[in-house]
Amino acid sequence: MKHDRPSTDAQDPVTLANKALDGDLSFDDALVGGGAEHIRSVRRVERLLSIESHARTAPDLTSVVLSDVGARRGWLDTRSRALVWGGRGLIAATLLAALAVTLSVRRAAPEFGPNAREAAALASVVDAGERAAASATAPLATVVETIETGTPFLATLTGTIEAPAQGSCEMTFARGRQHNQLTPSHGGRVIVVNATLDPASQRTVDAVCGDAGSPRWLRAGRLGHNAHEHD
Amino acid sequence: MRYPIDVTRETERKLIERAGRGDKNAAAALIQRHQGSLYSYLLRLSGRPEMAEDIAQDAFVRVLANIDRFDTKYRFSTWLFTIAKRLYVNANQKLKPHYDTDIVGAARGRGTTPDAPANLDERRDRSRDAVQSALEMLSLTQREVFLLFHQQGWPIALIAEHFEMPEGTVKSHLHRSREKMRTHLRSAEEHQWALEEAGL
Repeated sequence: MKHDRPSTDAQDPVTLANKALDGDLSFDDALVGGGAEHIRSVRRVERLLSIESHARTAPDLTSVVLSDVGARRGWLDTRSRALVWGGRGLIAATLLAALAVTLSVRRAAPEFGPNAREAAALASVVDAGERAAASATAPLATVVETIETGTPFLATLTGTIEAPAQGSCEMTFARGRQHNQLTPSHGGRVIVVNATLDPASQRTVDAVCGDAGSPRWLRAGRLGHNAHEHD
Repeated sequence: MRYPIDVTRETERKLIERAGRGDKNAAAALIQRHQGSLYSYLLRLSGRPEMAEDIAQDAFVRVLANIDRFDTKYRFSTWLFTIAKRLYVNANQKLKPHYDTDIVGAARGRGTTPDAPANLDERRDRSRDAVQSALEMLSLTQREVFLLFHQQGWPIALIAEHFEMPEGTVKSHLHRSREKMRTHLRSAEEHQWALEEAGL
């Protein structure tokens, strides 16, 4: 504690005593300055208050307070505390394990993660790319689709279905009993999934053509003027 | 008499944390550590043993019921005494304080009754009653500051923090309260001497 040494002559004894009691001045200086009586008076009160504070006369509030607090929030014995801590530890460990498993699964198989839709879309793009690459080399002329028609064909039609914006779909209609077959005539990338013959003209057909694996390619077309009948 | 309020802060922090986790023994240790000082402070503040006991009990209950919210960077005693002071002010609003020096003395089994033991004990009781009577002369803030400094041994900086007032203001309260106490105690002694001189 830092004690300055003021000129004790300049201050009255009570002020000096107060400074000493506050810890701002040494008691020697205060006593020299005549503050002894004031200091003694305060010290006597302090002694009395101290005796009182140390006396074992204060009521023991422990049990009543603990009981009251226990009714409000409850106390835990050693075993219960151990259980609580054990439970908390178990929960924390479980959460960590679940997190680790989730991260591992997501890394190994992203399609099972929360972004599975995006992952699947990406996968379908890849698959489509792979299919397109494969179809470019496959002999598409061998692809034959069976079509159902409301009116039986009397003749085999060979012609071109004009598929708007997608070029032409060349094909041959072959007569059958219950159904007619539509076959791409020149190995075009055409698969007809539905077709009806106009019974009046026998020349036109409403058909849908496109790549079977890619519905986006489906287009409605009409058998053009260059189609002709065969027996 | 100054109490070593800093030396056990680490121990106390651990007790507070344990009590916050529901450890009854830790809570009991906190009560036993502080109940004497809190009760004697409240007794001198209120002058009424029953009020001091009720407020001390209520303060402990409130503090311990919310112990998990306590920030251990602060002092437990400061928190406890702050709550106790609020409870005292609330109780005071309902019941005008009644300083009964006989009650204060009787609470310790040494009342100023004719049957009380004579000589030293009696003289000490008279002094104690005179102190209580002198404390009555102080304003509530002066009394609190005086008791926290001279009874509880709180440093001026801590009292200033507790009251949220500058240290200079705390010192002013202390100086005024000491002066009032001294004046009152001197007149009480003179009165006592006069009585003794008169053989009463």
